[in-house]
Amino acid sequence: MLHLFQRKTSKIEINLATEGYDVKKQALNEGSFALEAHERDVGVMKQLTHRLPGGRSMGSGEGRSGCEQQSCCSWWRMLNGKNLKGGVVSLCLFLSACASGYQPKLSLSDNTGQDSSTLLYSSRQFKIVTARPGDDFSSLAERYLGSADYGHRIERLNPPLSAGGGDLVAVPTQVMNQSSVYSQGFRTIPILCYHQFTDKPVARHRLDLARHQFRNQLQYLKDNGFQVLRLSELEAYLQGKEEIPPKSVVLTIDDGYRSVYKVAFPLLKEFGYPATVFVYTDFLGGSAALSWSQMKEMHASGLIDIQSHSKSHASFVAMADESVTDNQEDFNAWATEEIRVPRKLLREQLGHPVDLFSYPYGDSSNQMVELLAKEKVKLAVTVQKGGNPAFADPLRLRRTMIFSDDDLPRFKKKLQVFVDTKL
Amino acid sequence: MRIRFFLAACLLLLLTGCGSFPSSDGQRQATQAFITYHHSMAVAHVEAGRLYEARTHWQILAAMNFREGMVDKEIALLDKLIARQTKPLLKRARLALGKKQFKKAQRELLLVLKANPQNVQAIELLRELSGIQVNNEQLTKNRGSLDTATRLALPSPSANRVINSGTKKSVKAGIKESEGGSVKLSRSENVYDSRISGNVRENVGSGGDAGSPSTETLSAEKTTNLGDAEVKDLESYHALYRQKRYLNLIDKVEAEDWNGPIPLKLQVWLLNSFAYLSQDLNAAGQYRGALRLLKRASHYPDPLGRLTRIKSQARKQLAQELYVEGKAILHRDLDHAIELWEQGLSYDAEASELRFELEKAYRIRTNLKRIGKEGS
Repeated sequence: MLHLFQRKTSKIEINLATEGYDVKKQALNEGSFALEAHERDVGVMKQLTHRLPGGRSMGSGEGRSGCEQQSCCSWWRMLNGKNLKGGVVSLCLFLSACASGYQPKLSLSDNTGQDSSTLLYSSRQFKIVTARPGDDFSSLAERYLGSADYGHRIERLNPPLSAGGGDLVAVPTQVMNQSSVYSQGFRTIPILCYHQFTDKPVARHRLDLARHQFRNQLQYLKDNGFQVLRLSELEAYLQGKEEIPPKSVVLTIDDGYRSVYKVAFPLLKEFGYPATVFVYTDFLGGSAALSWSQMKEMHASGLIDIQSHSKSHASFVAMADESVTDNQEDFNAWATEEIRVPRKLLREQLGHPVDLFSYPYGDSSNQMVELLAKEKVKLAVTVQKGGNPAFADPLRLRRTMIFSDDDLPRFKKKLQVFVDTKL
Repeated sequence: MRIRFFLAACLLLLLTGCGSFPSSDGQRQATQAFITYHHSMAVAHVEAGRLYEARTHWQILAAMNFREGMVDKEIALLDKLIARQTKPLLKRARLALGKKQFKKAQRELLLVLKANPQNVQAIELLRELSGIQVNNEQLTKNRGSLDTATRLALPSPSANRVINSGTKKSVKAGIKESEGGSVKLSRSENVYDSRISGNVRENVGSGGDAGSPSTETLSAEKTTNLGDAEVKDLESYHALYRQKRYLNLIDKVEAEDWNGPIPLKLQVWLLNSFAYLSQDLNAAGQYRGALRLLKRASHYPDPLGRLTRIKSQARKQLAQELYVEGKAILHRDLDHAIELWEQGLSYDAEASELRFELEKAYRIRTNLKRIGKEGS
């Protein structure tokens, strides 16, 4: 088998020299395949069926498999010859062995509380399970990985399941591709950025979004199987603890306008989609801004995460610009306050950790990244458009603005979930 | 012979009976199918050079103790081969990073991850690279490439009166101003208003297609220091620029009667303003608006060809849009589709797809006319 790597053949053929048989792959089309076996020795493939799961006796000629092969040949010889009695006895012995059949050995102790009859094997990376009738990858993911959202992980490694069940399925228990880089490119998670919403049929300006537009966009995400993630969940993807799903998206809303509560929140509740609202605390209390009670209600729903968008919404880049200030210490002191004050206030009022940050105007800089890292901010978002791969800088995450003139085709374009790199 | 045939028949019947044991045979078949699938997938991936994927399928077989020794050897060999592939790539990526060849470094690192998606070193280097890329985009967006040229042209930042005119006092004033909730609200709304492309589109004015912008470079006399009066004047422009009211800045510059060249600093702000606004319009799919705006910018120097690039992008996008529009109406209104494509080709003469479709449409129209004549 090892010599397979040394020779490059266009034909997919394995020569299992040690076993004395050839297996030629006939077709391999997205999970469906067929194998054509050329048997060199009568009964080898049949015996193989019995022996493969046990595996250890393969090719050794020892144990029950070896006996079976021997008896299989001998009873025929006896039947053809004159030793009928011997033939009958051998045949009976063989048949009794046959009737007992090979039962795959359950090689694990199932301490997960799952139905042990469906769990056949287990290793550090995989569980080999039997699918039940009606199972799909999502239900298997729910049973063995704790969430139906991980169905894509199982799907990637297995052929399509038959409806009647009984298929063996490999369930990865560890992340097999923490960078989410594949031969065609890499997966990304787009973060969408909204601002204001309106009940009126037409938006008042580009950063305003009519209710029906927002609903259509959420409906599009639902209809097209997008997994809407929380921004805080992104940390796990960036740390390689999770593999990026094929279609996922994060929703964020900047500034903290009252229309978030009036228009967006009911729709988000309807669809059950989480979102992160970034507020700048100087704005709170204004007539157009969210009130604390509204924020508390949204936070209590479990769908809305309220995070910091600075204190005053001044651009850090403009402030740091040498034409505005040449005093580094002053800038640092001011910027630190801009980070600390809203975090403290939000934490006190809402009682949850405030570890995420949205740069005002999306303006980031090396200086700000350093300050945010020092303040132990976990994730920070800009407004540089594009999706975020698993190797994105957590303090310079890309975010795509959604405008009122974005129709559905344009909205679809903005959902960049895969970057084709043609490697 | 009869007994032999009888026994053989019995044997066949028994074998069939054996085979119908649902638990054993069904499971056996499933196991066989599972093994052959993962085995063949592993082999196919090796043949296709996807060693990591092959390794994954061997690991699955290893999980069920399938031919333990052999599978372990396969995995160990694949590990060696993967390491042999990734080491030189990582080395080359580090070298490219050291030379600031970011695209090359990114490609090498992605190749490492293609070979082994779990390579932590490559992931961390790519993360670093990703940060650099976003930062570079941010710098382009906020400061403009000409800023660097300005800084280089001026004696030193501390000697520059424009820079000195905006000290920490301005920062503090800015903060104080924004502390009041209502003040902040109006400020942010102003900023948004200045960013609203709908307004931008309305205010850009008509001008049709933008012509070629001037490629004149900055001359030496334009890099002189500024007088007190100019510094004072520039403050109002800078305020607009800082507040991102780019369109107001452009309007103000255009309304002014400049005797002599526009100060270099202002040229930078102006160029950046044109760039940001046109990029916004491009991003919003308002390519015609972007081109109209860029036509206004053609009076000002664009030494690094930044606006030219944005214009070229807008023209290409517009051509593409016209191509799609034409495709949609081709079967209903051939003449209109041809008209749109001709227009598209005038925006992007290199749009091969568009050219191909246009030629095809011409042929269809000629044929239709001929058929019409023959019919009559």
